[in-house]
Amino acid sequence: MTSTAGPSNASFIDVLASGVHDTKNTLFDALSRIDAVRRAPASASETAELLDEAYVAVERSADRLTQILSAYRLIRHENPVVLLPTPLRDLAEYVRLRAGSEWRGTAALKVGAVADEVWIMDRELIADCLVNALLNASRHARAEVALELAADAGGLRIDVTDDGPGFPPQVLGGEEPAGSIGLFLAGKLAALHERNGRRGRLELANLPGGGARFRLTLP
Amino acid sequence: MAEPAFGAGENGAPYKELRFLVVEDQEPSRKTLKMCIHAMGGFYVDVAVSYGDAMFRIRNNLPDIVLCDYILGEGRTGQQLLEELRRGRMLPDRVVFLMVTAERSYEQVVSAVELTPDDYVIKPFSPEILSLRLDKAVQKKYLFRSFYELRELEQYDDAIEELDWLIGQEQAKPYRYDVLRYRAETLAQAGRIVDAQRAYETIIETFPFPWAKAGLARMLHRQERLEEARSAVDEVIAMSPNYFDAYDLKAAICADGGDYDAAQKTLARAAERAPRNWTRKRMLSTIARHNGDAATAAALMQEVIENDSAAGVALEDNLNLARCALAGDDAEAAKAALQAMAAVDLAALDPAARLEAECLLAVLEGTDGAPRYERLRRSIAELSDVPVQTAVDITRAALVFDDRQMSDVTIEKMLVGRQARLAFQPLLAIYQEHGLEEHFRKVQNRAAHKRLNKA
Repeated sequence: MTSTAGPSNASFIDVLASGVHDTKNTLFDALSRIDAVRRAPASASETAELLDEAYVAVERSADRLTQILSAYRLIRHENPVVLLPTPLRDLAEYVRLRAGSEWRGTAALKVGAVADEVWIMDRELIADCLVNALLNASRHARAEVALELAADAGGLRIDVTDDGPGFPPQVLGGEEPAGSIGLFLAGKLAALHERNGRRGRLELANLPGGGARFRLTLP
Repeated sequence: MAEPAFGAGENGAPYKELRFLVVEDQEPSRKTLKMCIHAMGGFYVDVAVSYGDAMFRIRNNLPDIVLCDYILGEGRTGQQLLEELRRGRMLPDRVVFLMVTAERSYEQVVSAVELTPDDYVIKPFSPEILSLRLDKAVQKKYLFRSFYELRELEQYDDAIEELDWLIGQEQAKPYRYDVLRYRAETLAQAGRIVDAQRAYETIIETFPFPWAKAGLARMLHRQERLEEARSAVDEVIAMSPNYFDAYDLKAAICADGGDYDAAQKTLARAAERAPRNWTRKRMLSTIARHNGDAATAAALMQEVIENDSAAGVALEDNLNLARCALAGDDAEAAKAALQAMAAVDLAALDPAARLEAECLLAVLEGTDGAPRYERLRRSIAELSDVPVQTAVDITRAALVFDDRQMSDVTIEKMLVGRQARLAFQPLLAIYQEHGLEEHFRKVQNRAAHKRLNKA
């Protein structure tokens, strides 16, 4: 099931390695800030600032390691998704709460229209994936990040949109289909949602008026 | 739980009125959970520090909401607790049961089990997330309150009617699958097995949920459609390898079909991965013994008795130990089992258990047992539909005391009856021990003719 879904396992190993590489750099970053506080007594506000930065770096590393582990599990296990009926409004609320607690920056998080439906999905993995997409968007957005869930006969469309500069061309062009662990995971996870022979998919696009759209479609 | 539970979280802090029970063996997690409950407005919080403690508290003071960690220590899980409570009718449907877990593997379990918690939350979580889950669970309890009541009163037809009404209601939309599932379950409880089977099939057409497949397998098993039941349960195991009840179900299906080899292998797989489930190990011991694997059966019984005899060795365990010793031709162990049984007050047993115990005692006593067997003969002759184990004990005693007529009658009844395939292998083994396989085959032929005539 997993071998046909998304990028090959060889490129998967590259993705994992680049994730570990990033995490390592972020941790060293945190380390150097903690070290600075330890060695040179500075003003209280300076210390607090350094520790804040170190905190964010460690938090981000922990998130990334969690993702790397999830990615590993998705590949390693034969049937890693647990498909349960999930009311979409509960899902949206769950994702909003989780993303909200880690929200940084100035952009607003807006939950738009959410269909009053129940959909069969892996609630926890889809939530992980959406929280990640939202947090990612928040780093690039100018004013707003939005989450919308629309259901019809074609499936469930989950959109995360922002008003930032959009995805870089190499991500959209498919040259780096697995450019980040998060995107890689999202593609894999979508493909693992299968129903009546149809699979989910991930589509990335830049919007005409500016901004990026991350769209998961689940059967 | 009284009505005020509805709308919890939406209109302020109704959790203030509700009684919580936190079940968690780890002190730090207990604290976190209590803190979360207080943060969402909860006030009455009781804690249970172990499985046994939780059973005690729920029996004596039923809470409105149970927050239970999945891993409870001593090899026990919150899922086991939930199942014991619901099967023992100690936890009415109206009580919210929320599982708390750090294990993603629990979701595999929850997707397959028949008795599910109302929801689960994955650690770590914030008070807001716990509150979200509880709000939804409480709303669901309110929506289904009439159904729960009717089902508890065993008014199954009315309960099903209530569900049929609910399915058309707007507010039941997010609970569509719960309605379908309750419907199938209630049909099964009402004994409408074929209707329940169709209900599960309808659900599976929408989506092949492991729990619906498991339900279908059970319904097919109850109709003795063993081949189909087996293929359905195999699919459940493939989808949810951590759902060990499915292994138990498969073993029962295999054994009913006479395939003790597959039954033993299946249970051994589950026992290996859940090594402290003594109920399953007892079952495995019996299956192994019937499968002719006396050594494994005896070792398992020893292990069970060493680990699960806090309140003294159960009579059934001693009987099984004796059976293992007899099957393994182990004179020493047989003597020990006899001694252990000397303390048993036979008069206090129910008739079937007493008969089994006396048959085993007579055999273990050797020639001294002859008078005991003579006394038993009359009560044996009056029996009609006996469990396989009882038939095995009777047959062994009859052959030991050279009562061929009694043993032939017993096995023929079994081989004609509906448990024929289940009984075949263990009964044959006893005849083989006495060098009577050929004779067994003759009785088997006779039974086959009778079965055909009946059909």
